Amino acid sequence: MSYQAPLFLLLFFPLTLLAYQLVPQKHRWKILLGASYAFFWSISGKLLLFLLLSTFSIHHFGLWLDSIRSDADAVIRAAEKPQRKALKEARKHKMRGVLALGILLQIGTLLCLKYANFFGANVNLIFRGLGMAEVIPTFQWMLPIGISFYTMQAVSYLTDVYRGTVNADRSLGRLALYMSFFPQLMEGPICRYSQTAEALFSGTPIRYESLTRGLQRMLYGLFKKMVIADRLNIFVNNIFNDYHEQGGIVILLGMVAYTCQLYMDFSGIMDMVMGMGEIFGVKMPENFRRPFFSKSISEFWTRWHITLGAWFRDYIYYPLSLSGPLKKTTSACRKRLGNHFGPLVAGTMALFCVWFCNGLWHGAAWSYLFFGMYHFFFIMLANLTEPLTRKVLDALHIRRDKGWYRIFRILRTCCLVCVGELFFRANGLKAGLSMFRKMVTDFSIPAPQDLALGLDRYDLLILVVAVLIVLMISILQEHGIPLRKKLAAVPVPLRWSIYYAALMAVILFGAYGIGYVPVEPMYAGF
Amino acid sequence: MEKLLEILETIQPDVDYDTCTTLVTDNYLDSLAILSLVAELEEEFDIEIPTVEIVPANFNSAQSIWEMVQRLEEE
Amino acid sequence: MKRKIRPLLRCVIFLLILSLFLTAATWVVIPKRNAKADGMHNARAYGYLAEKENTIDIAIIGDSETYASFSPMELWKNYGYTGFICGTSAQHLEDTYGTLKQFCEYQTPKLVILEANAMFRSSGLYSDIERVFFREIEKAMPLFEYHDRWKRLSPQDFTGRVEYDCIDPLKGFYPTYYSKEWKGGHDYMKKTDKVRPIQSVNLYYFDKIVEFCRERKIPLLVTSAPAPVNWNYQKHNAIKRLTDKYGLPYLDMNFSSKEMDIDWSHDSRDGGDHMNVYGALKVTSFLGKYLDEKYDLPDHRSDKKYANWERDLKDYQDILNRGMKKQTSKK
Repeated sequence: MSYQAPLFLLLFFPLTLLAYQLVPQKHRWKILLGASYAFFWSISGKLLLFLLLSTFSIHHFGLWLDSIRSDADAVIRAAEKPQRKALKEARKHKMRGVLALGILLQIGTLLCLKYANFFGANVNLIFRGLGMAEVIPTFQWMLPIGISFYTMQAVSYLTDVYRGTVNADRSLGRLALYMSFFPQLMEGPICRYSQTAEALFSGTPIRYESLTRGLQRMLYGLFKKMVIADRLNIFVNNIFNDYHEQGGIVILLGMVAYTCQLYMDFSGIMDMVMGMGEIFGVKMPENFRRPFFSKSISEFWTRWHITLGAWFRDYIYYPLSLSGPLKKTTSACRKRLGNHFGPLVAGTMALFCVWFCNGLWHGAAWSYLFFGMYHFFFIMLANLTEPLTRKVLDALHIRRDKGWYRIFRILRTCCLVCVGELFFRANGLKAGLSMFRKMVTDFSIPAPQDLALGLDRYDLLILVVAVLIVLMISILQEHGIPLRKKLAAVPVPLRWSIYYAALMAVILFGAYGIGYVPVEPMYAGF
Repeated sequence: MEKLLEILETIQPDVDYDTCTTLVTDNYLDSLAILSLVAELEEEFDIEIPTVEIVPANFNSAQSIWEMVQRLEEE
Repeated sequence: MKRKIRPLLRCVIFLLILSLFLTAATWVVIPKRNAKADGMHNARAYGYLAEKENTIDIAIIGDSETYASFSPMELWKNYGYTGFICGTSAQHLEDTYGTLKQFCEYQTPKLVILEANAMFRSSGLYSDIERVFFREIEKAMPLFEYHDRWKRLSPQDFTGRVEYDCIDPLKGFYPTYYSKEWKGGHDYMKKTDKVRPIQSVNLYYFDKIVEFCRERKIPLLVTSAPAPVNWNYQKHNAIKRLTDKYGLPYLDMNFSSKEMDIDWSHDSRDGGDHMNVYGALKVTSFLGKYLDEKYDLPDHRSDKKYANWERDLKDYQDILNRGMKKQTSKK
């Protein structure tokens, strides 16, 4: 079951809403938990066991961390002042060990299920290269749905308990719901315990306003996903699967189309997820902020899949770059290399780790690693050349955040991102490289019939109009215009007309049913 | 506070630290600047800034940074 | 109280207006002619819509095995039976049932022949439920099935005039003229006591089909067309057991490919998955003999009401001859 499936939209979700509203407030979380596990079961069946194990494990480890802290605190309070520091150190040491074990269990499961074959295959490759027999068998494992997402949530919970920013949760039910809430189960956003657990558990009643607002956002998401993303699917598949047949310009179009598809798919599903959350009174962190208006790659990653970037920042980048040795390096380098280049050594090392993990997180394949390194390279490049750029721009009296230079930066970022997505989507790194080579060397003008690739002129018309609508909405939002508030103030006939138009557009112009391959949400596979 | 402003000035000179309350949110201080700042503050004030403290709320204005430093000094 | 009612009232009004839009859109996008060119899905299986009402005596339902293996016109030629094939490619059993129901709105068959291959089509219980759910919605509101037809709307679509006028002289049969050899020979049915399980969604719809025929007192014949790639003894056992349970006749033609004189190097279009035209003629002749023996179906050849079938027979033979000639000249 995916979020745009009729069974989900027309049966599962309404029934869940109804059951939720009908039971007394303090039992509502049970409905949500039941629905979430049913949802998980419908996709992954018995693999639900993995989610349950993860949940039990972080519940136990959270309480363990908490008991170490409170035991040690009692001792510290009783101790003489001079001894306190040593006791604190001992406490920290112990907690760190427990945290490491807890995280290891989570990450270990993920590594085993998701990456064993990738590492195994590459080790085998090395063995074969050395003339030895292949030693590591390949496993036919199914991945539990959403494991990449809920594992991140589990690790963030444990770390937050360790850091003392949240208290360990005694209620297993609340933690279970935090881990499994069905709207975010499949594609995130990756939430922190402090952001959603309380609201999920509280059983906020569904109000007319929250219902209509939530449905409104779901409808917008459905529009992006079904009218644009799914319609582009045929076109994109044709180009990426038969890239040998295509000329450079067609590949270029395919690359742009794929980037558009990925954005519409992922951000569309996110709109649906946020909408569903809104109905239940749960405010999840936003995952997108109109990323294609970014002026640099590093800004892009604060606006695209925001919760993933934030996770890496909070649980990998800062902990690494501010760890003892790297901090000393920063201080030392700063004195010698100055303000700009000083922190660059530590920053770059941490950044490398972040992008290595980011690449791998998307999937166990060299092309994803390449994707990570690609973004790492451009962020690093921007950091290295920053002083030079600044000098040049100052000399030319160009203001970087204004006018045409700003537009240039936005376009440049879009281009870099698109090329990154080309490697991301290509069937393997080899295919990606060969597509890229073709794109920059082959400029032959394609014949019109080579451009069709599964789209007729009606499809094109729909795509252009729909993309323009989304673009217009994005531009207005970018200028800080509160569109949803404005829409709420519009007289009913007009507002309803807009809803009807959107609904009918999804039903009539959505790419579903006979003649279309159903497209699973793209990020659910990561 | 004087000292803090001095440090901030050396790290990122283009900002009016008396009024700006969106240092992180609006990207005046990027992650590299934060790294510099943390290292510098720890040395200057003899404190240890744990990762938990590295949140936008603590770094968005000179005032909030100063409050954090004072809090950590007391510990 | 008033506060609670107002939002509810709003929702109801919103949905009412929405259903008006949906009905109107359905009315516009639904195909007005039973032709592929008009955007009707699986138009071949709906050719019976253009036949005179209550003139077709045999309904053949199932998946692609039906239209590849049987040719109703052969039954007409030799016995004067009127039959039609409503099978569609890779059909699921809920559609088999749906087609039969639809067929009986226009026709009153005296025999229903169910080709059993579709009984084993399943993508797992959960996916089956998800698919069936959407199919039920599509049937209730064809807008969801035909939403894409906005691309080829004509003025006629807005007048709502329906003309089912595309007569199919092949009566649902789909002849192919090329061959690909099946190398396994005639003895592909290896005896076993194992029984292939049938997914519960399919069992449910099989039951509905049986029930439907019982209610209308239409005899139901379950059959398996010869298809070595698709069929084996385990499946035979499953269907045998099922038909015994319901007290239905079951004709498994996979045991008779020798008797039918099928030449497996020549009579299959895709290596034993489906028959080509040559195989279909042999299979249909076998079926005709069986029907002649076991059933008392009317011979309409001298009936004036069925004059058009004689004309269609001519067209049918022309089409086949042309196809066969083309294929030989290619060689």
